[in-house]
Amino acid sequence: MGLLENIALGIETAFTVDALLFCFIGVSVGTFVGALPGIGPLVSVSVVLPLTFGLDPTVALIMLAGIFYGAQYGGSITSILLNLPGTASTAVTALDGYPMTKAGRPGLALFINAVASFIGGSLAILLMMGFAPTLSRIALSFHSTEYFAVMVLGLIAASTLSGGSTLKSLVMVTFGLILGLAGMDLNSGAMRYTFGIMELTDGVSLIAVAMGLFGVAEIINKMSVPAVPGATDRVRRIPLRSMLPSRKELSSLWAPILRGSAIGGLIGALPGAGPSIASFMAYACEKRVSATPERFGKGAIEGVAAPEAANNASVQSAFIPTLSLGIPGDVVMAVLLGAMMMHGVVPGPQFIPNEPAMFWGLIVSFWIGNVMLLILNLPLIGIWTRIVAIPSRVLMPTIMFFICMGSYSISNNVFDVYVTLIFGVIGYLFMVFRFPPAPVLLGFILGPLMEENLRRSLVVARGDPLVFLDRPISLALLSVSALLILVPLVKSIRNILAGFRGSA
Amino acid sequence: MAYEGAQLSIGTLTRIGPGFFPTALGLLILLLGLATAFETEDVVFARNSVRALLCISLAILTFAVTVERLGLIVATAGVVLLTSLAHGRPSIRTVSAVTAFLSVLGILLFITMLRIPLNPVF
Repeated sequence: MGLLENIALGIETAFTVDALLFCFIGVSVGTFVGALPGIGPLVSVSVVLPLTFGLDPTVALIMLAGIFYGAQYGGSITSILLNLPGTASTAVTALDGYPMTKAGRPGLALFINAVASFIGGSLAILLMMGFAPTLSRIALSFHSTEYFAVMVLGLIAASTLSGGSTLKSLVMVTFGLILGLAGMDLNSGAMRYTFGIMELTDGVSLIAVAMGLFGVAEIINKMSVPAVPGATDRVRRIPLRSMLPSRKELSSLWAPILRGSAIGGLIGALPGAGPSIASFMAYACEKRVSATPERFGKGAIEGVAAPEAANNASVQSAFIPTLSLGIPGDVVMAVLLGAMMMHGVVPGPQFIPNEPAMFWGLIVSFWIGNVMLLILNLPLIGIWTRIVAIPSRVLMPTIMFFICMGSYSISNNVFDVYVTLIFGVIGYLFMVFRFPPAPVLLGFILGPLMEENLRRSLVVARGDPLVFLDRPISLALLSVSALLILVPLVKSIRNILAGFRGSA
Repeated sequence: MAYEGAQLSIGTLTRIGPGFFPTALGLLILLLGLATAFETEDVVFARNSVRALLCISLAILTFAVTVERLGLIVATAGVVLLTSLAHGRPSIRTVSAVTAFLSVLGILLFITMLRIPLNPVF
C-alpha cells in the first residue's frame, strides 16, 4: 500500500463524527488537565480509561492520545504564566517562559509555545508516517536479545541524558526495576517482595506509585514553602498585539524549532525516553548552540520555542515504538498500551499489517488534534489562565482529593491509597535529596519485561551470556549504552586527576 | 548524601530462577547507592517541610481510613481540612465551600458516572 493510499485510509477513519468529537474532547481535557499541577496526562488517561470501554477502539485511542498530547500543551501554559509546571516535561519551559511573563510579555511566550508545539508535533507525525512501517519491519527481526539490549539502552539513555546526576538516576532506575518485580513471578509462582500481603500478589500498582511519587510529592513540595500572599494573582487579560513576535524574533525562531523537533522526534522514539528528557535536551542544545548563552534563564525566546517543539514532537514519536514494537516509549504510552490490549488490539510488529485502518486513522487524528489545539488555544489563552489562577487554598485540596479518589478507584481498594501515601513521602524525600523520580517509573515498567527477555534469551542460547555480544544489533545497542556511561566517567576521572596535578 | 534505604538484602532462590534478577538488582543498587555517597550536594529542607509532610500524609491516611467506613463526604472533608492545614490557617468558609463542592463533584463523577462502590454517607 502506497503512502498516499494509507493517508487516504487514515483520513477516512479519522474524519467520522465520532472520531472528531472524541478527539476534540480528548485534547480539551488534556489541555485542562495538563495545566493543573499535580494531575497530569498519566492520571487523566488512567481515570478516563474505564469510560472508554463502550467506545470503538480506534475512537477510544484517539481520545486518549488527544489527552496525552493536549496535556503537553496545557502544562506549558502554567509553566509560563505561573512558574508551576503542569507536567514534568514543561518544567523546562518555565525557565525562560516565566521571566517573559514577569517582563510583561506572557502573550508572546504563549504564542511561541502554541506554534512551536504545533510544528514540532507535525514534523514528528511526518516522521511517523515515513518510518513507522519501516521500523516495524525491522522490529520483526528483533528477538528477545535485542529487546533486552534496547531496554538497557533506553534506561541508560534516560539516566545519562537527563539533567542532574547520572549516578542518582541510575539508582532510581534500579529502584524502579526492583519495584517492578514485586508480586508473583509468573515463571515459577514464587512470591517476591510481597511480605505476605495479599494485595501485592499482582505487584504494586503503577498508577498508585506514579500519583504518589509525582503528585503527592509535588504537593508536599509546594506546601513546604510558607505561603506567599498575592503571588499567584497577576493574570489579567492579555492583549492580542503583545502575542505576536516581531519580525526579527520570528527569524530567530526557525532554527530552535527545527532543532527541538528533531531532538524530540528522535528521543521520543526511544523506548523509555520521553518528553521530559526531550525538552531538557533541546534546551541544553539551544543554550550550547547560541551565540549569547547568557540570555537563557532571563527570557530568551529560543528557550521557550525549542523545548516546546521537542516535547510535542517526542509525544508523537513515542507512538512509534509503542505501536510498531509494542514497547512503550513513555509511561503514558504504557497505559495506552494497556488500553489497546483491553480492547483486544495487540500492538507490535503485527499491528500495522493487521490493522492499517486503526494505525493510519490514529496518525491522521494526531494531526487533526494538533490543529484543534492550535485553533482552540490561541484565543482561549485568556480564559485558560483565569481558571488556572485559582488560589492554592482551593487548588491544592482539590488536587489531593482527586489523587485520593484516583488511587482508590484503581481497584476499589484502600490499599492503593496507602501505596500512594508511602510513595508520596518517599517521593518527597527523593526530591529533597535531589534524586530524580521519573526513572523509577521507567524502571518499573521495563523491569518485568527486561527480566522476561533476559530469561528467554538465555534459554534460547542455552545459558550462554555472550549471546548479547554475538548478535549484531544487540551488540551495537549495548555498545552505545556503554559509551553513554563511560564517556562522562572518563571525563570526570580526568578532571579529578587534573585537580590533583593542579594542587600538587 | 547517601541514600541508605535501598538496602535490599533479599536473595531468595539463587539460580536462574526467580531470585536472580532481585539479587542482581539488589547488589547493583547497593553499589550505586554507595557511589552516590561520594557526590555531595546541598540538601535543602524548606521551612515548612515537616508540617507539609505531616499534614499531607495525614490527609491521605484519613482518606484511606475513612472512605469505606464513613463515606465519601467525610473522607473528602478530611482531605480538604488537612491539606489546607499544611499551609497557613484555613478559613472555615473556604474549607466548607471546597468540601461541599468536591463532595458534589465526587458523587456525580465517581459514584454516578464511574460506578465506584462507595457510599456518600455511612
